[in-house]
Amino acid sequence: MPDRKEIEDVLAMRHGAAIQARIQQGVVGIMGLGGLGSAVAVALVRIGIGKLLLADYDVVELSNLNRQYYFADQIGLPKTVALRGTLLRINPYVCLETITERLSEERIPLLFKGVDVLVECFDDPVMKPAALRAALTGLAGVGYVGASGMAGFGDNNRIVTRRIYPRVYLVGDAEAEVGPNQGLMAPRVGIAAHHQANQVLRLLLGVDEES
Amino acid sequence: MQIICNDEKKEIRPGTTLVAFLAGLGVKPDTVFVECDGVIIKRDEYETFVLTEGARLELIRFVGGG
Repeated sequence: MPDRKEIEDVLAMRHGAAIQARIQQGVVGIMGLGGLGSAVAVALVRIGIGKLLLADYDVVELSNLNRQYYFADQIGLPKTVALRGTLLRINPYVCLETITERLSEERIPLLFKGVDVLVECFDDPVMKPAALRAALTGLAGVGYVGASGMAGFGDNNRIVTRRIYPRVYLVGDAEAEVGPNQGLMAPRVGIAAHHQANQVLRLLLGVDEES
Repeated sequence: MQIICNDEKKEIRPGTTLVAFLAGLGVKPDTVFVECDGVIIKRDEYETFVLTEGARLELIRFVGGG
């Protein structure tokens, strides 16, 4: 098993030392650990993120495995526990905090105070605007990356990242919701998740440009 | 009277509440983020918030999936 310094040195060599130093200081909250949140977490741990706050109330189910970063032997585990296990296999030294509860508009500012970037990865369309309100009114200045519209197998390139306020972004096609013959599937949910992860990285590195 | 919604002019009756306006658009109130004249409107105000002449609304509709 590599030690902490070996991992840090390799990441600094790959990414550039100054960039890596900023990634390593980054604290990111992920709300919802489904198809979006689990993939965002994996991407951020792979690049050496400093700390993640991982929030979900749900357990891993067989029906999640078509798109979410879990394994058959994790069925029945809380998603926070399962994902923590997976992330520690990628980097045993990453700092992880888990929040196993159903989030609400009121609780979000309390639970995620102090994060650099908050990532909204909820499945529930009611929690999406609620989380955006919570961040804008209760966590002023936080970076924010939400998502809306990534079901089915529509055009890759309709998944976009829009800047809606300074340091606040929404990813997705804004319309593809779950319906008959339009399920949530790993490829397109993965596109959206990695838009989110890259936007988090850009925010951590101080990039905040109109696209 | 007129308001502006996402940069489009809309004709509404005086006294129209936000929730009635959203219903007219076919939008479920729980799935939309609303800013009016630069102020974020809380979800529990949608039923009582009355739109006034010239109001500038910004709506962001969300669909499920994640």
